[in-house]
Amino acid sequence: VLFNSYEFLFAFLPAVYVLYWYCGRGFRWRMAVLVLASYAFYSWWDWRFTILMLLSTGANYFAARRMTTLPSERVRRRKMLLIAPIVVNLALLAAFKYFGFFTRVAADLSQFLGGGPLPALALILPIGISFYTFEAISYVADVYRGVTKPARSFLEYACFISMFPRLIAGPIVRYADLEAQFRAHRAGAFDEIAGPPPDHVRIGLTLLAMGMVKKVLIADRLAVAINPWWSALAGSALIGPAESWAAVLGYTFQIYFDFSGYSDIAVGLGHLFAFKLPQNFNSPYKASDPIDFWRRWHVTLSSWLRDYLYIPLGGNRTGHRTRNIMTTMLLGGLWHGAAWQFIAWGGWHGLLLVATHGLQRIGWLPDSGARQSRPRYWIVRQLTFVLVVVGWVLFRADGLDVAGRMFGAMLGSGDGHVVALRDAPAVELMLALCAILWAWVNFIPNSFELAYRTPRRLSYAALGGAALACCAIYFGTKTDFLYFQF
Amino acid sequence: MLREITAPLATSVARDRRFMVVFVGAFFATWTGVMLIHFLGNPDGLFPSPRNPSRREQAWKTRQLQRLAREGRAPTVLVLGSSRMVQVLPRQIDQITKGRSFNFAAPGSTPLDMLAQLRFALTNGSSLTHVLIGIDDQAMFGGYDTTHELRIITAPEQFAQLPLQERIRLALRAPVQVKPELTWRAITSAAHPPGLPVVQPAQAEHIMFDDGYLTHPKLVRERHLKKWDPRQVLAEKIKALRTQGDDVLLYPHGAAISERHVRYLRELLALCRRNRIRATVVLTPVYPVYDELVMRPVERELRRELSRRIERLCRRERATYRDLSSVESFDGVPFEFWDFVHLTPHNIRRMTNVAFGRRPDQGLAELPTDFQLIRAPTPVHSLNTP
Repeated sequence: VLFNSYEFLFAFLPAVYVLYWYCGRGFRWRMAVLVLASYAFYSWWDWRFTILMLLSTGANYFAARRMTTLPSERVRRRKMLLIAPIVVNLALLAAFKYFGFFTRVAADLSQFLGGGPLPALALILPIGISFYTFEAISYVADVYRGVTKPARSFLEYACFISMFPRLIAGPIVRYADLEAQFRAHRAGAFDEIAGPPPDHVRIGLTLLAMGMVKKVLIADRLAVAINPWWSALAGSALIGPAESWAAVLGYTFQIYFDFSGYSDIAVGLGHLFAFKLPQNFNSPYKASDPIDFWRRWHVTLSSWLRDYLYIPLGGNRTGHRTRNIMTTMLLGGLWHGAAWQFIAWGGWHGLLLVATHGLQRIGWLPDSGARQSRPRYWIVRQLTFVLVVVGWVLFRADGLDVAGRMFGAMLGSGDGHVVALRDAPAVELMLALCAILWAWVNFIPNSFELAYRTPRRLSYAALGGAALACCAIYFGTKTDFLYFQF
Repeated sequence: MLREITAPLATSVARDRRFMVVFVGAFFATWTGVMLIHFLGNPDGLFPSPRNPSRREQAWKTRQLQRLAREGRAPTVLVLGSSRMVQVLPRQIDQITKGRSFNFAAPGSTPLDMLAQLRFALTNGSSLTHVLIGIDDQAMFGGYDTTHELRIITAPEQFAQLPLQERIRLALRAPVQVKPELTWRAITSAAHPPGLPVVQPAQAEHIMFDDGYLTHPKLVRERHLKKWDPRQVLAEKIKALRTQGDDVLLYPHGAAISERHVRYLRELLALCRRNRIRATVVLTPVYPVYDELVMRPVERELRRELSRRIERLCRRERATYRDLSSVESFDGVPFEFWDFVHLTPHNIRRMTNVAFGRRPDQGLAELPTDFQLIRAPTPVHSLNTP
C-alpha cells in the first residue's frame, strides 16, 4: 500500500490512528497496534517478506540482548555477537539486492573471456530491505559500542524496525533517536490525554499535506513531463540540448520533491503517533559546496555512512581520507541500486568531495558553513547545484550508455535527426517551470521550517486539508515513490 | 499545582483537536466537491451521470437494450464478451439461429460483466434462446488494467445485477477514475451538458448500430480505398514491440488463471442452464505472429490449461465449447486483424460460423460488408442517441 492511495488515506491510516489512540491505553497496547499495523502495511505488498523482516528483527534483537548480558572481559564473544548479525544483515542485502547484479557481471565477464553464456538470475527485492537492514546494523553496532542501551522489549525493538511511516524508504532512524521517545511513551506521558499530545497533530498534518503536495502535485507531474525525453534517449533517439537540459533539470527537481515529499509524509505520520522522526532533507539545493550538500541531502543516510563506514575506515585521521571518501561514496552509490550507473554516481560525488576538501585545504574555498562574501558564496552555491545536476544524469539514466548520450545531448553534440515527441511538453515551458522550481528551492523555507513554525491557525488547517484533497484526486494515476526501488 | 500544569495542556490539546477537525473537514469538503463535479460533468464518460450520460459501450448498449425491450423487440440471442467480440455481426447470428440477436460485448469484459449483462437482459424482458460467449484469455489471466472492470459503473442497471461484494468493491474504487486534468471540462459539461457529436456516420472513428454491432467507419473506408492495409500496420506494430518492454506481454508476469473469473463463468453457464438458454463458449485468438513472439512455453501451457478448464466447465453445465484460439481452427486469414488482438470482419464471421458448428464460409456471401453497413447505418445508432 502506498501513502498516495485511497486505501491508505481513507482506511488504513484512520483505522490505525483510532486503534492507537482511542481503543486502548498504555505503552504495550500502542506498540502492539503500531507493530501489527506495520506488518499489515508491509504484507500488503508481499506477505512472504514479513517473515524475512521478522527473522531479521529477532536475530538482531537477541544478538544485542545477549551482548549486554556478557561480562565486558569476554571481548571475543562480544565481538562475535557484533559481527555475526552484521554479516547476516549484509548477506541478506547482498542476496536480495545484489545477487542479480553480480550474476549479470559474471555473465558479461564470462562472455568477454570467451566462455559460454551464463544464466542471469535475479531475486525479488524485498521493499525497504536496504533501510531496515541499515537500521539493524546501526542498532547492534551502537549497543556494542555502548552508545545506546538495548531495547527494553522485543515489541519495542520490532516497533523501531518496522514502524510503518518510515519502513519503506526511511528516514533511516537510529535506536538512539527513538530511545527517549519510547521512554516517554513507556512512562505514560501520553496517557493523561485522550489522544495525541499537543503540536504533534498540527505538525503531523501540516507535514503530511506538504509532503503530499511535493510528491503528487509536483514530482509526479514533472515525471509525466520529462519521461518521454528520457525514454526516447533510452530508445536510441536523439534529443536536442534544450530538451536534454529540460529533462535533466526536471529530474533534478523531481527526485528532490519526490523523496523529500516522501520523507515529509513519513515524519508527519510519525508525529500523528507521537514520534518525532529525524529530518531527512534540509534544503539540499541551498548547499554552499558538495560537502554541505551531503549534510543536507538524505541526511540520515549520509550520517549513517559517515558513522558506520567512513569513520570505521579511518575517517580523516589515517591520512587516507581520499581513499575513505571514495570507498564510502562508491558503496553509497551501490546502496542506491545494483547497477553501474549508481556506482558511477557515487564515484562522481566522491570526486566532488575529495576536490572540495582539496580546495579548502589550499584555501581556494572556505570551510563549509564559514562566512564568505556574498557574490562568491552565490557563485560556489550555483556551481555546486550544476555539479549535482550533472550527477543526476548518471542516477536517472537506464545505463551508462544512455547517460553518455544525455551528456552528449546536453553539450549539443550529435548532428542526427532530433525527434519531436508527441507526449513531451514544450521545452520552453519546461525550462520556465524549472526556473520557478529553482527559485522555490533557493528562496523558500523548507517544509520543516514551515511546519514547525506555522502557528496553530485554523485557516492553515483548512488550507492544508484542501491541499491534501487536491492531491487525493490524483490517486487514480498511481506512481511509486522513486526511493522505493532502493 | 497540577491544575496549573494541566490547564494549558488541556487548552493546547483542544486547539490541536480543532485544528484536526478543520483539516479533516476541509479535506472532505474539497474532495467531495471535486468528485461531485466529475460525477455530474462526466468528461470521460466513466460515471453514470444523469446530466451527461456515458456514451461508452456498456452504457449505450444497456440503454439500447432497454429501448428495444420498450419497443417490443427484445433480443432472443445475446453475444457476450470483450472487445474481441464487438464485431460479431448480429445479422449473421440471426441467419444461423433464426432469432433476434443483440451484441452486448464491451471492452475488457470478464465473466463477471457477462453475468451482470445476462441477468440484466433477463430482468429486462428478453426471453433468450441462445448466448454466444467469447472468452478473452487476457481477461482470465488478469491481463487487463484494473480500470477496465470499473466500466460497468457507467451502466447502473447492469451494476445493480452484480453480487453485493463486487458492487461494494467497485464502488469503493470508483474515485480512482477521476482524471484531475479534466476538471475544467467536468465543470463545463456539468453546467452545459454537451450535445450529440456533429459527425457523419461514415466519418466516425466508431459507430454502434441498433443491434449492438460496432465498427470503425474511418478504417473501413480507408481499407476500401486501399489506403489501409492490415499487413503493413501489423508489421509496424511488430517492429515497435522491442521498445515497449513488458507492455507488450499478453499475460502479466506470474500469470495464473483467475479463480474468481472461473467461478463467475460457472455461475454464468449455470444461469443459462437454469433458464434453458443454449450457451456456446469460444476461446478467441490473437494475431499469430504476435502470439509467436510474446508467448513463452509456460504461457502456452497455461492457455491450454485454461481451455481444458473451460471445456470441463461447459461439459458440466451442458454448454457447447470450441477452442478457436488459433486462426487455423476457423480457416481464417492470419493477417486479418485490426491489431494484435482484434479480428477483422473477414475472420470474425468465419469464427462465428465455426462457433455454431457451420462451415467457415457458410452463408457469408449473403451478409453485408462493413463498407455497405456504414453507407446505410441503422436509423438508431450511437451517434444519434445520447
